[in-house]
Amino acid sequence: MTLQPDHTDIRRDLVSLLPRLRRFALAVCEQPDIVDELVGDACLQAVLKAPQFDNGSRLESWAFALIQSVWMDQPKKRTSSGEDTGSNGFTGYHAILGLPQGIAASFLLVCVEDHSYAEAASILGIPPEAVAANVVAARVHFAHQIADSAERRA
Amino acid sequence: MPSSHNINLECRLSVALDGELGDADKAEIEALLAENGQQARDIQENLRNANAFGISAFDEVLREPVPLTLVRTIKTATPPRKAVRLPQPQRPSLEFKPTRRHVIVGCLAVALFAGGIGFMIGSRPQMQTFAELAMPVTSGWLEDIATHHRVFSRQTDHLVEVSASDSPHLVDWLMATTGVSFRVPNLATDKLEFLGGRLFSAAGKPVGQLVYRDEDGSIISICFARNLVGNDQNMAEQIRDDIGLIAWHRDQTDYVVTGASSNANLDDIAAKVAGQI
Repeated sequence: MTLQPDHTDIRRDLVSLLPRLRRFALAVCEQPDIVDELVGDACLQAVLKAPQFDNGSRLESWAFALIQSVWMDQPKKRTSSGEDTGSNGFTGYHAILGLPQGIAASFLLVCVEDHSYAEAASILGIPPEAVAANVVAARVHFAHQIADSAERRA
Repeated sequence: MPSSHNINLECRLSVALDGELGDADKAEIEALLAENGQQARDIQENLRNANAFGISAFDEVLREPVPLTLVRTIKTATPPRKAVRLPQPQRPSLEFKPTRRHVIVGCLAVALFAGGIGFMIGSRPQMQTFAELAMPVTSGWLEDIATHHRVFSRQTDHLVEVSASDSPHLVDWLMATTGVSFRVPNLATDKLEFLGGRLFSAAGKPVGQLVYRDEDGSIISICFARNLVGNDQNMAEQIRDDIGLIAWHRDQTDYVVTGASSNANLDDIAAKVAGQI
């Protein structure tokens, strides 16, 4: 007899995705101190809505969309952006946290998570053209960071 | 300050870098690169470098340890119940109108039944049954196993009593002591190294333990004991603070796979153990 775990339960898969979900949450909210709360809320929603998840699609994309949705439903926390009350390890990521507001998530989805503009747009709830513009803006920002650090070294 | 022409070129080169251009646009960009020569190639190179810098910065974030509280919140989240309410046929209403005779007969029946129960309790012989004499199995056996794992998994120099190099002796010893016939599961495909085993007690019974170590140095162990508790053949995951336990019962033997509660693959490992042990 071979016992099998319950594959309809997505909790285990969500736990294995946690590092990537936390990274996406950081890119979305850019507030290190609320990343884990945001991910936790989104994952609890994911567990509750698991029967609605289409097994043919990517779980991480669905979870990313839930994180974005939870974030958009929290206007108070969105307006408190910029207060540095961070207490977890994310506070040291100046390259990411220094990006102009709203562009980090587009760069992450397209360049790091290998989503198309259309997929990223669907997750973030913005037009694909805005995703393309955000990705360019992020690259230009990173290029300036490279140039600045090269100048400082010189 | 970059000119508007350069900004436009930057955008198009960036989109090209993402592979989002159609064939016609690609040809146009290639012509543009040829037309603008070195300047366009410099912009393209800058974008590539910036892209690599950004990816590297985001990859660094993955190294941050995930808080255990977050793992526990998700692992212990209650999944939705799959309750399906079927339409029920309307029940015919039963009218109950007891007569005086029915009431008297009912009262007598209750009095006789209660008296019989009282007589049986009062005249019970002062002899204990075997079940009463036998040591009760506490429901806290999983706590014993979790506590044991928490203590011994940190003794990195004394993890096992009999090492993996002496497996035949280990198997003979644990089989004779616990009464459980088993094989040492090979979990090399899960990158788990078998270290050996030990014996301890949980709920007053001998428990055999096989100890494994993963690539990160975390300890995962398989515990087994003869008829410790239940008859639940399904795997059940439980969390005791930082320890995750997956328990099941089969062929009069209880098995538990223990590891860190943050280990997402514990149930996969347990499924493999169930198939091999």
